[in-house]
Amino acid sequence: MNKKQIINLLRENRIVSWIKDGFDAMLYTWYYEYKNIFSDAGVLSLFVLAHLVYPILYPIPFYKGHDVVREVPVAVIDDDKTSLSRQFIRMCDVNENIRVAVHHTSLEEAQNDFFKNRINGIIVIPQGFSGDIYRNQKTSVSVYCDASYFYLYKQVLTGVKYAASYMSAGIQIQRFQSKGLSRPAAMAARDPLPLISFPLFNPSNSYTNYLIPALLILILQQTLLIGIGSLGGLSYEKKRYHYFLPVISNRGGIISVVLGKAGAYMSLFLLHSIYFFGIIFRFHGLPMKSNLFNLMVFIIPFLLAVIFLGIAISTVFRTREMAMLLLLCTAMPFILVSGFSWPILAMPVWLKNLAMLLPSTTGIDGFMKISILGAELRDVMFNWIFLWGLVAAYFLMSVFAMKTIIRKSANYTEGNNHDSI
Amino acid sequence: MNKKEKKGLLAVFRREMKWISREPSFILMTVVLPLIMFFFFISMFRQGVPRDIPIGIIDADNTRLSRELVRRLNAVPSLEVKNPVTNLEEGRKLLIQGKIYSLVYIQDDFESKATRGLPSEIIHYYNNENQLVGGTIFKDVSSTVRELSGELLKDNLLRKGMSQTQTEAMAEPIAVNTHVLFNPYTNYMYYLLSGILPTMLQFFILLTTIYTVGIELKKSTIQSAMETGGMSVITVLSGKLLPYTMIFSVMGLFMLTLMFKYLGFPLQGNVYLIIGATLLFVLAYQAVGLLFIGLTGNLLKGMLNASFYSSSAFTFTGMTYPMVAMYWPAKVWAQFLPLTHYLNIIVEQAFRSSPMSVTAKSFIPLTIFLFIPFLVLPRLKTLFTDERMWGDWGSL
Repeated sequence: MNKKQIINLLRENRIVSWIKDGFDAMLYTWYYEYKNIFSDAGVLSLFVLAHLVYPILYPIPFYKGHDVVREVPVAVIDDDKTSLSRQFIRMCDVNENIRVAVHHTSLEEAQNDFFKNRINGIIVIPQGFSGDIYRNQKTSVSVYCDASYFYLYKQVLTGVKYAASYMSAGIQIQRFQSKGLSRPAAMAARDPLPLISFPLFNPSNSYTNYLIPALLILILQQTLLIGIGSLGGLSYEKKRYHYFLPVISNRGGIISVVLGKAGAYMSLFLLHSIYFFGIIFRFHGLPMKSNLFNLMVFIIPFLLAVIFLGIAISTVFRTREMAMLLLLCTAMPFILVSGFSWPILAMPVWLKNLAMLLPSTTGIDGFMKISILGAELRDVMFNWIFLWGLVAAYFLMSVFAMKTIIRKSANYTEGNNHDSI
Repeated sequence: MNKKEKKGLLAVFRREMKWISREPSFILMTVVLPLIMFFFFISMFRQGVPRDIPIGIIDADNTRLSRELVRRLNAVPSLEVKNPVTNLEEGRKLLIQGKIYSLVYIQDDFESKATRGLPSEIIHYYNNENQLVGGTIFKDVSSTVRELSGELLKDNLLRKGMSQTQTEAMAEPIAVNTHVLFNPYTNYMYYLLSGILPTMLQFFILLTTIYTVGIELKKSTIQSAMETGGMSVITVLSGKLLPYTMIFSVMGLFMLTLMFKYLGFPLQGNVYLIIGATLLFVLAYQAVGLLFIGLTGNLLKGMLNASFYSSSAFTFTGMTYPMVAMYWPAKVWAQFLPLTHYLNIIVEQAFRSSPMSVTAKSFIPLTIFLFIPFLVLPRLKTLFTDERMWGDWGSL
């Protein structure tokens, strides 16, 4: 063996052993983190139990067949009492938007029922309704509704307008025919510019189709954030951070710690993702317009971004419960800024930009497009790249935060550090 | 703590106030975070209705009539016509990418058909994923097209020598007059915010209650609390929770001020009923918090269960998706949430001015919640006095 070979071997060895040490440290952290997760009731409920219970129980209000608002009860006041007015009432009743629940003679009576939540709309057919029609005059019906509840308002109005335009069409055709037009010509003449509308992506107006995909992504994110936060709180409470002191004394050892933790969470949450998209989707009878591969390719940067964000935040908490307390209230603002029930269009710009920092905002948007709209990966390329950007940023943040708290933990042995947050 | 201090409710109250003032996290939970949430949601919903929703138009005809239609669509406040779309494939992509929410396709024989008296179809695709946006687009595009169609029809009839009133009757034999009884400005900010702000508040009331009692069990400081309270569970709990009742009542009143003074929500009914309901609402959630502590026996489990209970609450109240359409177990569950009853009172008194006999139906259950802690009183007594119950119960 000559000199050169020996030097080469040494150099090689140093790198090899550095990598090997780093890898060992990562695997150790990984295993250690599993132990932490499976030895704490709080974390375990967030990391496992929540995923079994929440996606099934939360959408219970919209369980099969209850996901569309239909047959909203309305009251009718028929001041005309002719066969034409009765025909109109029948037309209101047969369309699926509304159903005629009760007949009244005065508006006060009907309004009373409104207050008691027995009905959600009042239709008034005025005296002279049929007379006007027979005399070729314009006539009208009145509808009273409540705009406090958006869905009910929309249903009542749509239902009455539908009945009115249906009956109007019949009258128009008859009048044209009486002027000597043929039936097809009359049908054509009554509406010169017919509009043919196709509701896309959610034609059945189903509430679950649009709630559940967003909800699932949010459950993944929130349980991860709260779970990792709780683990951080626990580490502080039980004085566990200093175990990592020897690891970070190696160059780059902190990366092993962060990756090891991330590996433990990632493995669990990839399983959850498969369960969500494979089983929960079917349980709620949702159309899945994507394959598992696309979903997984998309979900990986999302989960990583959440995990690194979680690790960075987790270093702030001093007890497990404080982490839960402070993070729980974020679910509602987080899901709403994603544009889920309130359109992003109607939000102030600073809020839109701030929301982009959350993995859920880009995640819900992209995931909706893939799973419900049937988009290809290239259609959501922006979301995908943006998520990787978040991964990089939060990774750096988590490395820095982790290093700081582990270094600080050197003081543990010396004594009291009981400031709590 | 000074051993010579007086015992009883006031002493426990003073002890709790000292805790609150010393721990920044308590101020965070009771005042700072709720205020941040109020500010956040108000700025989010401030605009009220969606405006300038981007839509795409393929104008394959490019004639006087088609340009008129484009102009009219653009004039609708809720819609904004984006740069022209050249073909359906491009339109499909823009729809999927979310750059436009609706695509109106005007075919190349649009004007010529219309002038020859043939029906000239307009095809309209719109994104119905979000029903608030989808519903607005559908309503506004349809009414714009129908208006233009009606004008064409009337022009045709007038040219044929019909009188003005006859053409009116021909164009629209049955008109629908809409009277909005409640929330006449159809502003969804009102109903969403009046639901969301109390939902945020219930979170903080419930979790703070569980935390402040549970943490004493976890840290075994409950003994000193019991000694200060003269070994009476009711005294200890009243003294401990009273500071929070006061803080959250003030927060609740502040919330009402924001809603009715600052944002100008309609207030048709009795404001004192709403104020009374708000105080009951605070007490009801404190009571539910005690139930959770009593049932689970420790801080961690109490919080985990309460988090499920409170974070799903908003969906069950029927403020977004109406109660009438829900699956029956959800309707039953909704009755076990004080939030449901409280929001009913808000809607009934603020927006509707319902008669008292109706609102009483929501006040009664809200009051019943106050008696719930007495069910778990014996259990709480054991928890507070038996050393074996204390400590951190999380480790497996």
